[in-house]
Amino acid sequence: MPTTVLFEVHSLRNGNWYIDSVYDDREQALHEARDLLERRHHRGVKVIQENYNDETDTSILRTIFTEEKGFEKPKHGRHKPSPPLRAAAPPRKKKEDSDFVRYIVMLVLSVGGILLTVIGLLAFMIIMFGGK
Amino acid sequence: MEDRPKGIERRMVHRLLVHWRDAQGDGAFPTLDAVLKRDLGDIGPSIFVLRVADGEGEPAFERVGDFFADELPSDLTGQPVSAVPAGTLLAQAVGRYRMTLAKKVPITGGGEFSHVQGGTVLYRSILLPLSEGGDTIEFLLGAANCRKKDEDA
Repeated sequence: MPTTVLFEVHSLRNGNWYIDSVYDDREQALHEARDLLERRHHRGVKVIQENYNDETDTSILRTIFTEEKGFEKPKHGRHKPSPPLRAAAPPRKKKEDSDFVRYIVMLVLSVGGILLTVIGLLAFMIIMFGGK
Repeated sequence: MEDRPKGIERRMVHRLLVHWRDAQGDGAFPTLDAVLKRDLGDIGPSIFVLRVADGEGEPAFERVGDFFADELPSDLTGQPVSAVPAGTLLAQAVGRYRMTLAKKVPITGGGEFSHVQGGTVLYRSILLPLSEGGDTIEFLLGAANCRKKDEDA
């Protein structure tokens, strides 16, 4: 089956995706995509593999690489796996506990302050008017 | 970041593409002068320029680098792309000019072919669209280099 394989590098500029260049070599397309991402005006890149069948005049498109600056991790197979999540969980619980204790302390102080004020006002009124 | 593509063919294509992008500025295409006035180093002899015809006519050679001289029977300057002998590196390099004009982006190609002077040749090439202003492509800048497949072993 006569199939032509091409790799299109697309770049994200001013919020729109544009085709930047075309390669017949996967590694070169991936390299140029990463190189392009280092340029100032390009916010993202993707590499689309096109398998074109000459007999049926049909194409199968598949995105094999996507990366956007400060937004998305590469979806290419060679990138390192994400670190395990368990390291991040305990500190989060500790922070939640700390917030709860702080809330209780503030509540006790507030209620205590209000009660002391009320008691003071009652004592003042008893002293002023109690003897009459 | 992975290593840069290996092989002299890829490096040349990549370097010329970088020159093209640096000369591009904010426009869609750089001008021919903007690219050629850059220090292209050893890429220079491997370069050819096609002047794109108005309408449906085929492009003609504006200049052809010395690297192609040995495989051509005569100077092709001013000749249409159909004048390029089959089985030459230049014929492989200009082969994708229609795709470049249609997609309006740099297009690289490569592979191997049986050279008219004998032997199997590995090659890489690139075609880059150029404009003297606006969105109309007036020139195609191309480059190609190669090596005998036997030298690979």
